[in-house]
Amino acid sequence: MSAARGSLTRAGLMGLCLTLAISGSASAQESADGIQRLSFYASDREANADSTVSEPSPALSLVPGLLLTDDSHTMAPVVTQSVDAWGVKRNWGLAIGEVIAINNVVWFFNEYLRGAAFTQVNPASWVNNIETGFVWDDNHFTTNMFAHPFHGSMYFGAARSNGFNYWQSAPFAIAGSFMWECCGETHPMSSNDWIATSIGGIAIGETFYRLSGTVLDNTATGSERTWREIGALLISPLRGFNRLVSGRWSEVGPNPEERMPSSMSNQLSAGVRVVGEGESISDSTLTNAFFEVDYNFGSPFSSQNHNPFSFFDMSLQVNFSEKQALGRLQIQGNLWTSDLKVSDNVHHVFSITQDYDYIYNFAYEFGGQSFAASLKSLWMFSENWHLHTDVSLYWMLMGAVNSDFAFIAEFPPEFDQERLREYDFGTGGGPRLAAALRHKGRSVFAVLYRMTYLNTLNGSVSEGDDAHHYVHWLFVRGRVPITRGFGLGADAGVFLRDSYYTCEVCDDYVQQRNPQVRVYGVWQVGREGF
Amino acid sequence: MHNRVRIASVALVALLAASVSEARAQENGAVFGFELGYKEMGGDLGKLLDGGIVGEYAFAYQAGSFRYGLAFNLVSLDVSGFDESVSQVGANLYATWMIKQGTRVLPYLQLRIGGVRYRPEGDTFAPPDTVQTAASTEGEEGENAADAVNGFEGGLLAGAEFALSKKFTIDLSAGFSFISTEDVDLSAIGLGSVGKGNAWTVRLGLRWDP
Repeated sequence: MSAARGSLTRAGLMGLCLTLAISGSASAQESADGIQRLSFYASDREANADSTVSEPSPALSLVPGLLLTDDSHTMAPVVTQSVDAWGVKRNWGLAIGEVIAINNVVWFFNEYLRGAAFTQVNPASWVNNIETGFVWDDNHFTTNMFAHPFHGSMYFGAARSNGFNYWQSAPFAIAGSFMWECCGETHPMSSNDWIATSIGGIAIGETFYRLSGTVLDNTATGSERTWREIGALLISPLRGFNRLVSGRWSEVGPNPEERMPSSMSNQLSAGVRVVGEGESISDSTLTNAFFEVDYNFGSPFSSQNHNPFSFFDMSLQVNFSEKQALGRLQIQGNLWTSDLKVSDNVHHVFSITQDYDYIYNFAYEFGGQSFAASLKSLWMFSENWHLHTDVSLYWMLMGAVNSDFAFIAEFPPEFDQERLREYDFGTGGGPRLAAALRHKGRSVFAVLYRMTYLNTLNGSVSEGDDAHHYVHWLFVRGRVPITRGFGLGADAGVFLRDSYYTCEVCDDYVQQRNPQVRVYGVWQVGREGF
Repeated sequence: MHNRVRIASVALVALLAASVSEARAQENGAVFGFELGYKEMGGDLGKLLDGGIVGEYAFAYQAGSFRYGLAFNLVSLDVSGFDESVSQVGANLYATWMIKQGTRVLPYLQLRIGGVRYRPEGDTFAPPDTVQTAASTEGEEGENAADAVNGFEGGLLAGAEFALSKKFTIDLSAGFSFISTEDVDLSAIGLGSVGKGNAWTVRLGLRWDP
């Protein structure tokens, strides 16, 4: 619930932008405000699974898990040591210690530098928080929907970079967040914080862990090695820290296979964005510049071995002259994928994905943590023309959207409300439909529709009332390649929110409509280009 | 309350009795500690502040017979005769001498010194212009704390660890410390300001050698 966590996290994003360009690239992709990007690739190579290996022993090993000593011929259990794909041994002590240390750092920042009123923690406050239980909080949208997930990514990164795989690291994010909620501050525990920090933190944490891996190179030496390690440190701070203190920062050796997928794309876009209000884009028009980073890692159409986040999409948009620089961060990462049909002309896969959304601008606020079931297809009409489609149904575990009457949000007596919230918390889901047409690997045309239903749990509801939101995005995009690495693009779309209320002070129905047009240049860092 | 204390005492005795079934061999490496205890204030500070339940966690490194660490302790001290309370945060560096090694019971002596910080809790002590009285869309929590004062605390602890397993021990200790800080100002409730005192602490906790 502490707002100040956000101020500690922005430096990491700056590092991310600086170091993304180091990564290689392979194929084009789509993105726009409110659009979860498509990722479609023709090939990829298998990513490594985290593995358990037996450490060499002086004795002769005959059977996994057993060894036969060469002198006595007696059977004895082999000491097995779990290591990840990067050869990092699982270290419970460091992982737990770092999770506690992260909370200490945040606590010290708030207590000593910020003079916060919620840091006078002690056993009495811990018991009090446990007895009060979970409540919804009133923090800023950015605090709740970005800063907390970023904080959670640190917990996750602490475990991930100490030899734990994705699934094993997830409980560290959940437990670290709970530790903060119950014992790191005197405010009552916040359910929205716990979900956002845990689930959002896992998505951001794994994304940045994988991303930092593409920057690292164990074979590099000298200044190149140093700069790569610094880049990885900025993207995934806990990983960088652990490499530094363990000596892996400078150790020369082979790279793991999972370091690089066979396909990876990094696009940088810059241009102008025009957002209107109501029926016309000329009403209450807001025009500003934007910068965008679109990143693809791996492909759903590549291999049979799809570990969590063996392929993912990430899109980050920075807005100028907006109420905040970070306008959008969206992540969609694989959790499980299986081939449905593979032929010469078509490839269908079924995927379960984890999604993270954060969109914040003058016109609207939207964010949440989701899980989706997707049918992703690659249609090969000819050697040069391919169509990629994505039909998804997703469940938004916890979402937030700007609302007209959120200021009536109810808080328990134990909660010391200090601001009026302008957005609702809810749960729901909806469909996402996307298609992208490509010629010779170059994006030519794309269309995306996404609808999110949110049943308000806290916000524009008082006792017994309901509030429902239907949030729609429809975007189309065209791109014209100018040179191999540079192209021009244009998007047109609309954000539409239909909200239905039953509270006493509310209108029954409110519609928000924001058309948007973007014109921009896009640079492809990679071999395919435009 | 008495029942709770009785049950806790019986459980503690049972736990300690069960724990001394295995000799513990200390190994060099990281050690974590998590403890709960009771801190009773004395001296000038003790005239204004009563005791409180203290929580502590520590990171340490075992090197032979010695253990070096950093401990954070947190306690809310009741103000004598009032409903108000004062938060105390301590961050202490410590060195522990493990008097015996490889035995079931591991007695030790610990010297610690570090920073201590007091902050009166609640809006009563907050500067009036920092207390937010009306909710707005701009505000955020965290700006209405009373001023904190800083100082030093140093002391000596004596304790013993009881081996539960190779990785876990139960830790029981008692200690005395001296405290010197900037004046803790309780004039908002008609009390004076004090900055020196001492404290007795008893602790029970768990040590983990990962």
